[in-house]
Amino acid sequence: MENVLEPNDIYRIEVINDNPELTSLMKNNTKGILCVPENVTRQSQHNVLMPQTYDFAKWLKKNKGDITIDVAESEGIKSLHSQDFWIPIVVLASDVSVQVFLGLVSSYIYDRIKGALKHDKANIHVQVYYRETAEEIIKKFSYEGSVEGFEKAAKKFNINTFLG
Amino acid sequence: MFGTDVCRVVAESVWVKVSHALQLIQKLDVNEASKELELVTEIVAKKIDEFPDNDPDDVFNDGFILKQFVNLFEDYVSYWKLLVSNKFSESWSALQDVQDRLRTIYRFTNEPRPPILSHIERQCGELEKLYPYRVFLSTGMVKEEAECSLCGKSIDSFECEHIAGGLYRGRQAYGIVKRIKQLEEVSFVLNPADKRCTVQISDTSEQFNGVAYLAQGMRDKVLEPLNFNHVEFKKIRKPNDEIPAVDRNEPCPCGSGKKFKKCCIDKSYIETTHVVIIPERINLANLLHL
Repeated sequence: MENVLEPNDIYRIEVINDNPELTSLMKNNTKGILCVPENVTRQSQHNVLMPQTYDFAKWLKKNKGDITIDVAESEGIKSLHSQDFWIPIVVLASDVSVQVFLGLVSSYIYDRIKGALKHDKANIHVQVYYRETAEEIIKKFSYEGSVEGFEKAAKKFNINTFLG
Repeated sequence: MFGTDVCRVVAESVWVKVSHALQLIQKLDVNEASKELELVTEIVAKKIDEFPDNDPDDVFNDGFILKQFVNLFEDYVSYWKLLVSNKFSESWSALQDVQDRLRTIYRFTNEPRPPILSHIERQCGELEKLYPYRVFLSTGMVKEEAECSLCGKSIDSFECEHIAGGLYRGRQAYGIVKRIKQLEEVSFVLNPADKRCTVQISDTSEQFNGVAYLAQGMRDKVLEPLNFNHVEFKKIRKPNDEIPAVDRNEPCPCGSGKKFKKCCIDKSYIETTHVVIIPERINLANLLHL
């Protein structure tokens, strides 16, 4: 399912099939949030983490100490000369819902854009893998677009989940 | 804007000099303005050096902001100095320096802030529109390790407790990349981390016509730096110099053999972009209220 909120703000919800590595990773991750490198999700051959992985993880540890966050092993970290927010690719254990995670991302972004000027424009890139309750199917929520659009996408996701 | 009394007192004590420097800028007396601000920087640095070691973190963090605050005006003066010297390419980088200072100040302070900050912020956004830079160069690489500027541990690990960009007892943490594993790409992007990474354009290029027009207006005393408000771009039609003026029924000057009205008449005018610089009447006393 793809939803276009504004021409450049797009969120998608996909079912992920045939990825044994991801399935095993999600089975083994029993608590909290695990940041994973790109190759796990088969979007790239590179075993590297997204640029803001530790920034986000440390922010979360400092500000939301009750939520467990860990970082999977990798061969390096991407460094992009971009003003965008590259939220780490994460897999969620059953104790953290997508709604909660998207709320955390919102708070993080809000904190990070405190220094932004009115004419600054930054996009957000989010990818989160999760399992819906009582289902073994892995789903992926992804978003690419503006900060304002992300808020809308998170709200829409919540409503869709609520309505089933 | 300053959370501690000690920094508030220092800021108030130097504000007369900062205000004076900004008034000098209005007269384009950029060298005198620079000298005045250099003096302020020295005074502030000395005061901060005198903070007792056992002062709380907040005092040192406020001291850092105070330094940024003074440096902002130095950068602002440098910007206008470069602009009126027709150093347009360099002035673009100076404009980024001003905006980076503002971002740092905003990140670590809360409202209310002095009105001069939002005034400069709005000016920067408008000034950027006069420059030809629309796309920027951006590198994509894989780094192996970045050392924390404060503790020396890897900033990309939980072992280091600092967050890049965070303020710790008056010092900002950042990662020093020790080894680049792979340079993957150099791309053209719209939103780079650093807008200074541009394709170089000569200062005499007509792409700088808009900004050259502003610089000339400043030198002619038509406009003063703090009175610059915004720019408007208008489409206007003007006679096309390449098409000689001929009567509608005469042969077309392009040599087609057709009548002008049946051939190139639509090309006799061309549409160009006209830049209008809009000044603003300001109350300097209100603007320079700390």
